[in-house]
Amino acid sequence: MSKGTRTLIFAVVLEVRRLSRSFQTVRGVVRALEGATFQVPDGVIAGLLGPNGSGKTTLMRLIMGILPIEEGEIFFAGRPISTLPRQAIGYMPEERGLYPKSSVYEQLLYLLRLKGFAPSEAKREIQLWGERLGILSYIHRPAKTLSKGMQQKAQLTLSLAGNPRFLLLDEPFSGLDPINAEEVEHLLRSLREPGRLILLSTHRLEQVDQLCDYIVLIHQGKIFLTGYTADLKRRYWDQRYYIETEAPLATLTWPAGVSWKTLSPHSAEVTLPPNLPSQTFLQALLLQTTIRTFYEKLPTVKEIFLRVVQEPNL
Amino acid sequence: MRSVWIVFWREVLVRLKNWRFWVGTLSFPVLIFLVWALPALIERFSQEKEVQVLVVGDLPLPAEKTPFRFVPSGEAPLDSLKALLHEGQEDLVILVLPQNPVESETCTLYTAFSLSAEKMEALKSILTEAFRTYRQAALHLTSEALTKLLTPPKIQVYKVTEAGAERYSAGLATVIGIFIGLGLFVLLLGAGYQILASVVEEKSNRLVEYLLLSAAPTQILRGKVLAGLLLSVFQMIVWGLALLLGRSLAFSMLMEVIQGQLHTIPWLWVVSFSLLGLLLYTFLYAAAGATSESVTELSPLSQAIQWPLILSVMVLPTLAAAGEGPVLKVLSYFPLTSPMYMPVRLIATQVSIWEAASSLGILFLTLLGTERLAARLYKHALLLYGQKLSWKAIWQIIRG
Repeated sequence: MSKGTRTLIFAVVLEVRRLSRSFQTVRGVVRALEGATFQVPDGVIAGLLGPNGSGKTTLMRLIMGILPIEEGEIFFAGRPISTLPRQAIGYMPEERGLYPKSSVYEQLLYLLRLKGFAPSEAKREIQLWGERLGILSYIHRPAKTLSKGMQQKAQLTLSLAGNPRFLLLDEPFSGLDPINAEEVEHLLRSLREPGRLILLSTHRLEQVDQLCDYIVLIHQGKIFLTGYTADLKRRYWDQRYYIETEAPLATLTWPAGVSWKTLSPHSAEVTLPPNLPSQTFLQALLLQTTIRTFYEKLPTVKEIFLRVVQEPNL
Repeated sequence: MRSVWIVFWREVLVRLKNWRFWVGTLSFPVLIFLVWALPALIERFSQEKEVQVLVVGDLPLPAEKTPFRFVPSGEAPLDSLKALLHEGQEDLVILVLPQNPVESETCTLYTAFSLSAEKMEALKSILTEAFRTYRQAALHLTSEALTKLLTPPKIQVYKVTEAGAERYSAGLATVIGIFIGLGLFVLLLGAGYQILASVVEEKSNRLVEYLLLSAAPTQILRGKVLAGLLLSVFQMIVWGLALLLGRSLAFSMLMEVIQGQLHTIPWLWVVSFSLLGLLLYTFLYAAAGATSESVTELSPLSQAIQWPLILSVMVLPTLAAAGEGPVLKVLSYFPLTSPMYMPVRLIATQVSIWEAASSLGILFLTLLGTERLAARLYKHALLLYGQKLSWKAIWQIIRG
């Protein structure tokens, strides 16, 4: 399915138009964002990727209204994002914490009330999401006695309260051990549904591969790439295949222009030249040996990311 | 010993490199300049008018000594001399010398205005010299012997108004001024520090983005300030009740001074100035908290904020005793000291409503500006996690 067809099926829910933001620093004016323009469809988990200092956090803070917009517009479901009720947005900032001496329950109640929830509503939401995230067993303990993973789940409870339509998570996996990261990942998958957009930024690109349906790549304050993960993988695929043969690879004669990376004596990753169809390549090899496995090797998100960041003109 | 030396140098250098240390260190000299040097300069340029002193009695006073010109009153009765004085006249006073300058050194000064502290000091110095000369001649004593016997002259000041002459007493004004000053100081130790610590806690625990998502920085700070103030006022009430019940010495002295004079206190003004002053100082604390990464960094800044209060309380008795003068006047308009000094002037001297209102207006505008500044710093400085805030960065945040 082409990208264009998908855009027709899934409505655009987040639209960022020509967003710019600069900061006056001691070293002069720094342009954190420069004319950022992109769209994200509804019902997906979108990954906001970019190297450190690329403008991800600034973009999230602008979306959340924590920083005032200097130039540009942000729309959610066709309306300016500023008109969206606060309870409709769940946000987990990158720099997050809890009051160390207060119990998790007390501070969740306080922060939710500040966000506009009535006391009974706030209590109900804490109970609901606390149970789902498994924090009820330690909810009355002071935050300082909890592990980082436990605290992170408490912060996630805060973001999820009210079942928001728009969930923004800045580095939700940072500081989590693999078990907790897996749990959070599982939870996010369960929240993926039409009518909700989950936008997350992360450095764990292997997780983006598994988790994100859509990618927004930002670099030096500019949007370099946007699109469905599957489409982008196809777009950046460089005719790479995985091959496993009966005969040792060293004994085979390869067609001209083929490059390969040996993985074992019988397996390799091969890259075909653009003018060599895979059928022709296979036919040439079948004359020499039996082929056990052969499939397309699509690039990982990490590979796309590195390629775009290191060779932006590609 | 080597380790001690290394640690010692590191500690010294870290503090010396921090601009907050310099703010804390230099705030005192700057304040001293503002409190003493500046008003003196103002006086030098603004009040060069010579004061004519009509002298009743006999002492070898010079005919002229800056800023006074001494004129013997002759045989004219005191009442007719007093009639020469009228409100607003700032160049004529009547000095009544003791009948026997050998036995007494108490003089009486009738004036329609208040002489500044500097002029009072100058007058006392001239009188001391005159008493010395007079007594030396009368008692045939050596200068050294006389120095041991001579006590400084006392000047009782009577303010002459249309209603008659009334003894000027700075007691009530001093008590109220000190009470406000100490009250603010004590309240700030509680409320200010609590707010400051709360802001730093939110900064170090990185909660601020959650908070800013849900409420405006001004709302968050106002909530903190009001909570801090409420708790501190509660503490003050508890301590006041304890004093009342314990009938302590300090409390009885206080009651003695203000007994029967409570009705003369302009309560509305006193309460307004105290409240706005307290809010101003509390917001200053909040701003200081927003610029600091830790409690260690806060210490010099909180010192800088406390100095105006401490100095005000220290010099208040002297200034109040001297009556209206340029120092008192300047301090009654300066927002960090007006909460103490304008009430002092309102009680001790005659201050027009527009003057008090102007001072209150300046205080209010400063409070609004400080609140805005504190909110701006709270929002922007707190979003820059882990970054040391230089004064340049703070200046840029303030400029927006």
